[in-house]
Amino acid sequence: MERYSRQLLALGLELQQRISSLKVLVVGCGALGSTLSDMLVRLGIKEITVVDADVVELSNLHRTRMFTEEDVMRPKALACKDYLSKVNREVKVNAVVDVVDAENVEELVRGKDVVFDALDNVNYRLILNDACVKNNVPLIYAGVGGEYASAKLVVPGKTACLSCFLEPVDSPNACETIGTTIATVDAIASVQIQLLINYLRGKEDDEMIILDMSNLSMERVKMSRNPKCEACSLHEYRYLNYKFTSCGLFRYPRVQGTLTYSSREVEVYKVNDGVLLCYGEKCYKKTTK
Amino acid sequence: MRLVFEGPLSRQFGKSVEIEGNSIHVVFKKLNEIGIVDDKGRIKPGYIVLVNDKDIRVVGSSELSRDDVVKVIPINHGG
Repeated sequence: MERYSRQLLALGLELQQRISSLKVLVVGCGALGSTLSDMLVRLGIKEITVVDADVVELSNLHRTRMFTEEDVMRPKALACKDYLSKVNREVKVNAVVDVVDAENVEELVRGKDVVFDALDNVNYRLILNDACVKNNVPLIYAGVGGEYASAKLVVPGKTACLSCFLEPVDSPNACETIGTTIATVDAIASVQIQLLINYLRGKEDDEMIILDMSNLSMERVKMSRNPKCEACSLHEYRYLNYKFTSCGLFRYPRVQGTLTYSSREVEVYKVNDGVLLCYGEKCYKKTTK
Repeated sequence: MRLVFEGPLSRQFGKSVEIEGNSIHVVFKKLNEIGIVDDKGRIKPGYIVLVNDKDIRVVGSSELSRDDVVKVIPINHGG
């Protein structure tokens, strides 16, 4: 407990013991996911699983402290695991190089005490939300854009879930490249961690936290469940049967195209409208704009 | 009714404005003026509109009162 001695002074033994029993899933290991997982491992959870099918790019480095130039073109999940294992060897770290879609989301969510949403598009968020609501696992969402960000705790059956107020976007040209800053990412990731700590203290406020960094302001906007919500009210979970095809990475059935990069961990192929990231036989298509 | 803008919208439109009238129709008219309603009359993706903390899509056509608060919240999905 020497490692946590100063944290114990702030949080107390009972809360630290709860933290040290947590099995956590972090979905996405980009800017938000890498920052969150670093904090979770330092906080002292029991086990963390990070999932991402993408590789680190030079254009990622400005908004994360975890990845360095040496990690460029490494699978994010594996680079993340290597880093986390150095931070705290008492925490079990699992890395999954994969997307989180209807095919595998429930398997990943089941048995976790809490799930962090560190995704970068609304469609995958809705799939994750459905799986968490269906399997009664709390979800802590955050999204960023520019110097503005929002976060929310979802406690299935108690608070509004993401499907209460978000709609999918599934049309071509609907995916934009969103800019942000490291300060915004760090701040909203910190809010997500605090939402976890407060949840462990029994606080389940139904509210959206809205952070406007350029204005240095944070607001708590009260929310209510949607009685017609297909996930948490009607229990229909339609996104668990849905295949989105317009934003993000997607499973691709075969190796194809011109090989442009190869390492021990990944092969990259150029195809007409994007690139394929292949890990052995498993390929994912990443559309370029 | 008071229309409150959150986040970057508040820099564009001010923190809040008063709107005359007592129906959802008046709210939609105002939201349309500021460009967050699509051509099918629905709230555009990327925004949440809450009427007294409830999503506007479930408020229906019920009458609103002078004390009611409508909040417009932009939602981004970067991560």
